[in-house]
Amino acid sequence: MIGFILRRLLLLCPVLLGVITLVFFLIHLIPGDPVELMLGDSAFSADKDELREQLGLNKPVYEQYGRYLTGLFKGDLGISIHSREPVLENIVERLPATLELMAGAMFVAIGLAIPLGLISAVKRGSWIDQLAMFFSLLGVSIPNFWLGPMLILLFAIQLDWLPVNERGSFLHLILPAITLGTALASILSRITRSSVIETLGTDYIRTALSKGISEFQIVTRHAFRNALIPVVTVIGLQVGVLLSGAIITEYIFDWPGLGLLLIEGIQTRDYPLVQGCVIFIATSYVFVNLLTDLSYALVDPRVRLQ
Amino acid sequence: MSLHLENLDLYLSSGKLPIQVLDKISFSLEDGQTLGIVGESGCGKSMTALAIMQLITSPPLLKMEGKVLWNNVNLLDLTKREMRKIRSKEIAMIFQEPMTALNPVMRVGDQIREVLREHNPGNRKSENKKIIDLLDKVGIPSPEQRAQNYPHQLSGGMRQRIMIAMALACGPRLLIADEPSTALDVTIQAQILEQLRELCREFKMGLLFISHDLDVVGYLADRILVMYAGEIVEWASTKELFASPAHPYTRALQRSRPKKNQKNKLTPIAGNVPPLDQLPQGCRFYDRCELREDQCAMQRPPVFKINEHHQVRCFLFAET
Repeated sequence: MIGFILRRLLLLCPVLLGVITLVFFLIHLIPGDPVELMLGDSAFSADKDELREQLGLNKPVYEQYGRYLTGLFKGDLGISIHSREPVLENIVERLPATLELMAGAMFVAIGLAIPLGLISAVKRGSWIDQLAMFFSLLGVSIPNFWLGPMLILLFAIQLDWLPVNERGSFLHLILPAITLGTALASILSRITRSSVIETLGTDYIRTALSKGISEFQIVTRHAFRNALIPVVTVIGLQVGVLLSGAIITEYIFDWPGLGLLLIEGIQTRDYPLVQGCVIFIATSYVFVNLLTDLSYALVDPRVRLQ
Repeated sequence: MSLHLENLDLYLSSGKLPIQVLDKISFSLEDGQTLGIVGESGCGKSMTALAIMQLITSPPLLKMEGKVLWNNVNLLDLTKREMRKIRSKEIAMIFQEPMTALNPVMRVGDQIREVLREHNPGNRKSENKKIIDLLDKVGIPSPEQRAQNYPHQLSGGMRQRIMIAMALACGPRLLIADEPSTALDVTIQAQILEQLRELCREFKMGLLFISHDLDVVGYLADRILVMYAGEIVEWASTKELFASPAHPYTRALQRSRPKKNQKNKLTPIAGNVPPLDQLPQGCRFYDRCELREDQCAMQRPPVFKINEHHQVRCFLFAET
């Protein structure tokens, strides 16, 4: 188990190096000059050159890349061009908001999807099943950049039930969490449904029936845990999607998380900030995948981590 | 405690049309006796067993007619809850595939515990003791450790023993064994069969044993039913069935099994069991029968009595 984790962590290194390199050069391909954006068109060219030198932007790109990499080894993600604060500090400051949003979305998704998928599977073909699957199709088809504004229009502006904009009480979390969690809930409920249906047709369910135990116990004790295995995989894979969805959701709701930070960085051509955010997101994605693999062993005793 | 089936018809819905899978199945099994059912795949052996236990899930059951009398109570009239009290407590069942019949994510001890808890609840300690005793009884070495294992950690033979232990947990009066040894290799098969025989004797438990292997059934059963295409074609005591098989199908089955010092080739039965949705108008075995006559194509043969212990569904015995 420990060997497995160490090997996976070691494999992380080339993946991350690839991500860092890709992000670094892609960002430098984006047209626009951060110095121009900061000082404006009317600034003297001497001032611009001075700022460029200060930020190291006058050096050739490969040298900037080398400096960035050596900095990373020391845990230094660079200094934000815009705020002049260390990028890592900025990220750490914004991280709790994003984690809160993702946890909220995950709660909405799992809380809705698993009971719904389970009921749909057990009552296959009934009106409950058809209704649930209709809503899940709807949920997966609606993009969150449309759902978010619509929820704001209805619940915040028309009905005035819930607050929007910025982070605050639990009530502030509700609309962003629904916006971000709906698509995931839809996917998960379909996976749960099909997985439970498949499990209910297996021989060991027939054995369980032959024991004389109730259908409720059969579903909860025998079918559910076996059906959970593919669901866990999808949850793990979808965390990455959730992260990218969080960028849009945070922008819509002015939620002060990593996504908003990233968008601010892109708008101001804040190279170190954007690089830092993307690298951070990529790393967490890889870590979540590792956690997903580890969780298989918890759900399924046949999985041995090697 | 006895089981009587009276004219059991079973229809499944497959596609649009209903398919009759069992046709007027009648037999009785007295307490402590062993009845064997033999026939090729698709003859309705397993369906008969599942119908008694009411465990038919797919394809969906359309309807069952007739009677399944267990101690003079028709099981078909029971509610779901009442039927649950029969399963495992009075009639238990073991299945063909020990590899897939156990829940892969549950410890085998806990799978046995589930039966105990449903029908004979006790405290955890007494349950543990009972589980160990059961595992010991079915010949599992170091039962304490084995109870903690997951199914994938056990061999096929071990798993089938676990299934048997699970079936015996509440001391049922009847055990239905649906090809319990088919998926196992020959030496393990012999051990399992011997074990089943011993246990039935010890618990004075009835056994309904299903197999496609005539020799295996002959080894265990007091009486044998031969099924073909959803109906019973011959019914006799084991001794009589082996000494003087009557139905051409039974004779063909006998010829098709390997004998000691066999020099010449085995004689298979030509053709296949007809699909249940395309049954012929006359005798269902007509196409494959070596002794067929014109009458057989037109008319379905009724059951003829050869003697007290022997009945057959074939016109050859019409005079007797």
